Amino acid sequence: MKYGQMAVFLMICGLQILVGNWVGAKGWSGGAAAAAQAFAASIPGFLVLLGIIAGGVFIAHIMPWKGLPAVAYIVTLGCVVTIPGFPGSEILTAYVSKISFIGLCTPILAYAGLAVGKDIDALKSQGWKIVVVGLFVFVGTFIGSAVIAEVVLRIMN
Amino acid sequence: MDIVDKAIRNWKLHVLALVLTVVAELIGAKTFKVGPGILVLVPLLYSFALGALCGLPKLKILKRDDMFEASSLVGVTFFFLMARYGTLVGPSFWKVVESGPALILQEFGNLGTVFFGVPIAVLLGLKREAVGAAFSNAREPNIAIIGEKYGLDTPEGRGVMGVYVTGTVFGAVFCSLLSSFVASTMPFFSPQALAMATGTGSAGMMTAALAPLVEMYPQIQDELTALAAASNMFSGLDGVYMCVFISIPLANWLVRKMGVTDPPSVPAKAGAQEGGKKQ
Repeated sequence: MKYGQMAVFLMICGLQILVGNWVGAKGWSGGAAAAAQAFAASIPGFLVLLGIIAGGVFIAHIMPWKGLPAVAYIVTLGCVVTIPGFPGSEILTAYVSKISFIGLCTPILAYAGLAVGKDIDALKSQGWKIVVVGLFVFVGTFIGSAVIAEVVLRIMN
Repeated sequence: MDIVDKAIRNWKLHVLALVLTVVAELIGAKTFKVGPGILVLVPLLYSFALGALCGLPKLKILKRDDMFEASSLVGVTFFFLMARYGTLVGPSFWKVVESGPALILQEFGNLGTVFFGVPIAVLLGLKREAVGAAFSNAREPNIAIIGEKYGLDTPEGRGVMGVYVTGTVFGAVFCSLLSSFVASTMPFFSPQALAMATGTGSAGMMTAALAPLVEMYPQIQDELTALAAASNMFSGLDGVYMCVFISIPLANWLVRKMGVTDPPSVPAKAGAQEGGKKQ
């Protein structure tokens, strides 16, 4: 995807995140002025996220080694700028905390859902057995990881 | 005009996504008692499921082209998710560092993947497919590993692609139900361990599995989120080594033990294939 296209779509998707965040927090209750204020309160957090994304994409662009995708730099940058002690980390954390992270996923998964129809066709050609195996695989991974994490945490404490 | 340009100009997609988001958020999180467990349904599951329903051919809402255009946008939507995840790990950074050993070692959970998955796969009649299907939870890096080692147009390749697509279609919903069920019926597990276990899949699966935990333990939600995101990052780093050195050999051994004698596939001449692509 070209950077210009990325920027346009980030604005569209970001607007949906802002609206979803506002609806999820019942931003309309309390009259028009309070509603507008609730919406405006999440905008700085949105701008911080955009800044982190832009920074991550820029780092990925200038890195000579292309082994890591841009999301790896985005998540790392987001982490670094909010570690306590990083200049301004408290303000950044306070701004982004206005955007619910579970709510952020509602529009993201809406796009994923709209795209999933083409994969259902692919799945039909694979057959039901692979679906059963897949579900067992997810159970095995989840339980396996949880058992080890639990045991290690107990040993450490 | 390339597919991304078409997708960005496809106002039907954006309006649908907005409507689904608003509807999903209006419904809000719901908790149900099911048998001994609790199921927590969260808005992101509704928006995903409703979006998938829009793709039903009978409804005539989305054409195939629309779906392909939507999928060209999904990668960028995850930029927001990853940025937000980073900002959740930062404030709890030192707590995450303390949990480092658990985060790294839980990658051995892939052994659970193999021991659950391979027997089921072989019992269902899969042969070499079982290795590709059950050596990992088949996210993008795992596909790359199988593609390089066996080729994707082989039984192993079909196995890994099948589970990959299963994860794309059912992963978020299934992992969310799984984690809320395990959290409410198996008191052996602490919420912290479960949060780490949610990080082994894709970012979408992780969030869907994490959401019910956050609903159940709102007072420690920042810690749980940070652990899940950190676990997801570690999986990206050490998961590849774990797959190559442990879970693929283990899956191969177990498949033979279960009586599958077919030889491993050999990828078609990689050089020739790449040469073709370059032109």
